[in-house]
Amino acid sequence: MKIHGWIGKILWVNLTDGKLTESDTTKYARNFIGGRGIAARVAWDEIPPEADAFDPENRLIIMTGPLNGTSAPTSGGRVTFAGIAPQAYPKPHYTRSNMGGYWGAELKYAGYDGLIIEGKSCSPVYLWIKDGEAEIKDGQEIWGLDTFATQKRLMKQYGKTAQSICIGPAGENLVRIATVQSGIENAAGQGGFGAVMGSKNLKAVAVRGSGGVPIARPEEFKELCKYASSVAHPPKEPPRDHALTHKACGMSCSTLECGAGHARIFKKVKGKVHPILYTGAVQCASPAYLRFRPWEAGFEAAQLANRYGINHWEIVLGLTGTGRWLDLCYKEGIITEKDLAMNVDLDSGKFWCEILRKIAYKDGIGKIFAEGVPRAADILGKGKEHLPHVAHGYETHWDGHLFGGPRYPYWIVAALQWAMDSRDPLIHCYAEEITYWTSRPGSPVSIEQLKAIGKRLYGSELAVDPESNYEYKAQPTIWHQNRLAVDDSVPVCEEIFPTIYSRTSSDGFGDTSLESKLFSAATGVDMTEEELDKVGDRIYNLERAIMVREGRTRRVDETVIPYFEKPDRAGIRLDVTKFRALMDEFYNIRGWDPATGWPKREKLVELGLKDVADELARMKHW
Amino acid sequence: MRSRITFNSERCIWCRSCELMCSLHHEGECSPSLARIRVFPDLFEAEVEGYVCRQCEEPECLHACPMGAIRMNPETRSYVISEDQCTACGLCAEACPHNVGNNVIFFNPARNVYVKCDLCSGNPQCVAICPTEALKLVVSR
Repeated sequence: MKIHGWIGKILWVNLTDGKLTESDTTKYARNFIGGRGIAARVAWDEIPPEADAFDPENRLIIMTGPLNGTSAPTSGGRVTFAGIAPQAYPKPHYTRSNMGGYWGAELKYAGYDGLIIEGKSCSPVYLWIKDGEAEIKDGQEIWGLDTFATQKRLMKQYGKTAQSICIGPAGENLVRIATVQSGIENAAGQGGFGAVMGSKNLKAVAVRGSGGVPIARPEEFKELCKYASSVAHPPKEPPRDHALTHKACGMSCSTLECGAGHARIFKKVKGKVHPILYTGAVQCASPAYLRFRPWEAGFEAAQLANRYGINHWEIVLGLTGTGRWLDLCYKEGIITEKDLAMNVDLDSGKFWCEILRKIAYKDGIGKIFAEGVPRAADILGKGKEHLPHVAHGYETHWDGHLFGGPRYPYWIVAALQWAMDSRDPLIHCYAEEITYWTSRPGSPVSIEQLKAIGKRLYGSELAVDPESNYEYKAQPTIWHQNRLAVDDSVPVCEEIFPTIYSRTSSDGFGDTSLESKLFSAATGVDMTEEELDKVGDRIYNLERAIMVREGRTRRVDETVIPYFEKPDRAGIRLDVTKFRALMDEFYNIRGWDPATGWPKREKLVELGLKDVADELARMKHW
Repeated sequence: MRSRITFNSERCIWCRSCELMCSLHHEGECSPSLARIRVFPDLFEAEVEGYVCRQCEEPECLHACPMGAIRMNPETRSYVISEDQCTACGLCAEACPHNVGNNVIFFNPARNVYVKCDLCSGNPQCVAICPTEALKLVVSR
């Protein structure tokens, strides 16, 4: 039977014995869609719960979804990476990361929905995949190259339309904050999956495909793509010259959501450390590098991070920039020049170029920072009080405390999402946008429209009322957790979806059924918004089961509390008693046991996860 | 003057939605290798090249076709390949001076014909999805 949306094949790669096998995607797709959802099911089935991130038994799961490679706005190249993550703290645990770009689309054109990589090669290798043929190739010649040079070398060999994901020296050297990179600025950053590739001696995956993604209802899908681009958040009148410096971060992003300050291309900037011309981009967190002096050296540092394959987020929201850990520790004399064994100039771009080099090659203090800032504080035995890390090993991200994120009471939802996740939760869809409505001039919708949206979407105006407190905050948390699991699986970009508001609609409502409409027209498998959210619920619960199997309890969830007890920018602190009661409410609505934080058997059975419930029972989790 | 699509590389944001909408419209699937418009971002140089039929004043493809299959569509004021008459000889693709890498006129094996941009009967889908007016339909009057 011809399938639409999915390609139908997953490639399994065992780097220990060099075996390549294929399996049918539809076995997983029926219940878990793609991307993050299929990754969770594969992880539950395949990864031993006691595995360390760098064990050969760990899997690097790289998965697309049915909308990858299609014209669905933002879906094109977006791909999930998952497995036991070395960046996770205090010990590595399962999580996922996500990358834009073009590679995910090319993988489907080359005949595969995803890759599951296990084992460890005895020498450096890379994978070459072309039109349904996969090969493990000797990677000695590209081992040691930076991520740009690696990709250029592979393009020289396989043609300029070949797309690659790869690691740089940081991944090779098992730096816990190493990224998987593609293009000039696409990365699976959080989690440290670059180091997982490095631990397997896998340098790169190059793909080239001449195939396509068949669409079940092309006419409908075409109109939906145009409609989705218009109803998403693009400004009513984009600045005329926006396009000159802003480029899409990946295939099929026909929205103009990410503004000029968010993503910028620079050409031929002369380096201050290395006398070469740098062409590249700064995006999302990395414009923070441009604040270093001179800015050209800051830009060079940003490009070196990309080339070494180091996670920007841990650098400019952890170590320095917004996170300011090193800045505060140095100012207060907690960390000294003697600790760093180098001259310190925290505003200097050259200084940060040198720090990045040291991290990538684990040289001197770089060896300690290469463990990520929380572990670095442990190793140094100091500086814990200044960690900008919320929990689970991940630094501040839209939590309302260290940068312009949601104000009170909206960060209560962020705190609850942080409590329950395995990494920093991506909370743009609730926190970022509601903050926009309530605290900035010229907001796209009024407070009245916002309340109407809250009532329709979450069941109560209280969920979004700026005068509210802890009441009705579990419901929007759960709604967005489930929806984000869907959006990471179909997939679409979570910066834009779900489109809960619109700048161009008359009543301010967006269209939260876009994902289900696009999914249904592409695959021919008709799913309503509610049915898709139920799949999101299943994925979220399965991920929780993985966490439970790894030892997650309510006690771990509560490790977010000290961070939110610190005053926010308006001086408001978390009310711990009320927050614990909110956690109770959350567990109860989720069908989880409030004492342990574990999903109840009946909840898992209801979601079609009886085998998961049986396994947890066998492990005496009830 | 023929109606045609123009490509402005400065305004292109490299999303390649045009390619996917094109193949979706014509072939029912999203596939760059079936697209009659092609955009190649060179990320490392931050440059982009685009290919689409320019609707030449004196089209070499038309003169090369032994079947007379390339004709002016009076409604769209553009040259199109009549697939019923195409025998897949490929002389048009060889004759086109702009057909670098067969990105403008190319063979479609599923239907055994050569294809190129036909302006989607006057409503080009690539132009419709392009968010920055990098692609424009220039209409001949």
